Amino acid sequence: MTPELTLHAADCIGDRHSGLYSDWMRDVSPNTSDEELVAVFNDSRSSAAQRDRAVNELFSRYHSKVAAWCFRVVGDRDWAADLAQETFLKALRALPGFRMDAKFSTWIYMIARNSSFNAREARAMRPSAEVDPEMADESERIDEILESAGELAQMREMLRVLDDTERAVMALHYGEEMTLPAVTRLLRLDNQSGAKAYIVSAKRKLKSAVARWKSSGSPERLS
Amino acid sequence: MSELLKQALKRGPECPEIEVLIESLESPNTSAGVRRHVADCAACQAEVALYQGFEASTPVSGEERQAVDFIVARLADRMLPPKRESVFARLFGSLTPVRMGAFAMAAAVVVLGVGLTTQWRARQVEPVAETGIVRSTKIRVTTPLENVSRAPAEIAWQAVEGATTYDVSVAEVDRTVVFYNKFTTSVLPVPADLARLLVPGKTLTFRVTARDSAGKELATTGAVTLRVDVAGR
Repeated sequence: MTPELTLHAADCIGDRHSGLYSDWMRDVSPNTSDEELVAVFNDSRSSAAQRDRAVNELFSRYHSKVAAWCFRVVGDRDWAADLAQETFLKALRALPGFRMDAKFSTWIYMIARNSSFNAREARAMRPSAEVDPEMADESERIDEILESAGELAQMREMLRVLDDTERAVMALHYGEEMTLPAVTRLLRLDNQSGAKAYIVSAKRKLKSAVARWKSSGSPERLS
Repeated sequence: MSELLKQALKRGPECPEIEVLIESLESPNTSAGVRRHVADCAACQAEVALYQGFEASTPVSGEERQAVDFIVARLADRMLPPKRESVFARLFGSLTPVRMGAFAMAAAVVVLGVGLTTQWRARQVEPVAETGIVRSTKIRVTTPLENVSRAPAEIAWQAVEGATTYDVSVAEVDRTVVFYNKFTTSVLPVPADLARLLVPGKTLTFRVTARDSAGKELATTGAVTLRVDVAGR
C-alpha cells in the first residue's frame, strides 16, 4: 500500500526564512505557468501556505493525465489509484531538485511512466504465453522466416514496411512486453479488436516483405 | 517471436534518453540526427506515441472515464487544503521577543478596556429579541438515505441558488471514494455500479458540494450516512 499522500510543502523542505514576504509575487492562479508554480514551491522565501497552494494547483493540473496513464498501464482502477498517488508522492519529494530547463509535464510524465512500468514488472505483468489462435498460425511460420533475415540492421530496415501504429504496437508488445489490452489502452486504439488487429496485419506485412526480400535480394527494395 | 525481431523492437544504446527524445521533438531546433533516428526506430516511435497518449488525457472509453474519475476523486481527497497562515504570524512574524512582549501588554490593556465597556453597556441596553434565522451552508438531502428499506433509484437534494455544478461523491466508511461525478441538476439517478454497492447492512457516506461557475464552494451536505436496512433484504 502506498503511504498516505500529504501535500504539505513544509514536510518536504525545512529551511525557511521568517518574516513578511511580497504576496503579490506569490499569487497562484490557473494562469500561473507550471514552471512558475515550481519556482514558488522551491523559493525559500515562500511561506508554507504559499508552497501548499502552489503544489496543489500544480499537481491538480496533472491528476487526470496521471490517473488515465496509470489506468492504461495496469487496467485496474485501485492499483492505478495507488500508482497515481505514488507518482505524486515521488514528484513531491523530488520537486526541490527539479531542473528549470526541463518542462514540468515531461518530468511528471517520466515519473508516472517509470513508476507504473516498474510496478508492472514487479507484478510480472507480461503477455501471456498463450497465443491467440488467430495469431498463432502467422507467428509460427513467420518466426522461422524472420530468423533467416539475418542482421539486426536488416531487421530494422524491414520494419519500415509497417505503418506508425503497427510499429508502435509491435515495439510495446514485443519490445516492452506489454499485454495487448495495455497496448490498446496506451495507444488509445478504438478499433474493435484493438492492438491484436495491428499485430496480425504487421506480421502479414513482415511475412510478405521477407518473401519479397528473398526474391529481390535486398531489404532496401521493400519499402 | 524471433529474438532478432524483439531486439529490433527494443530501445538500444543509440536511442536518446526518453526525456531528451520528448523534449527535442517538441523543439523546432531538433537535430536532424535525432529526427532520422526516430524515423527508423520503432522503440523511439512507440515512446513518442506513449507520451502523446499521456498528453491527450481525454478518456477513450466509458470504463476509462469512470476509472479516471475515481482516481482523481481519491487524489483530491488525499490532498489537504492549504495551511492558512495565521494573521498573527503575518503581522508579528518578524518581531523580536522584546517588541512582541510590548505588543502583548498593549493588547491586554485594549482587551480589558473593551471588556469593561461592553459590560457597562450591557446593563444599559434592553435585550433584543432573537430573529430565529440561522444562516447555514448545509444542503439538505431530500431523499431518505439512512436505514431505508431499499436502495433509492435516485438521490435528490435541495438546489442551491447560484450553483452551476454539484460534486457528488460516495465513500466507504474508511473514506475510500467509490463514486464521484459532477452534475448540473440537484438529483443523482443512481447508476448501476453504485446501486450494486448499496447492499443491505453496508454503510456508505454520501456528500454533495455545490459550486458556482468559478468552482467556488457554495454549500455542502457534509457526510450523510447512506444505509439500506438489513430488514429490507
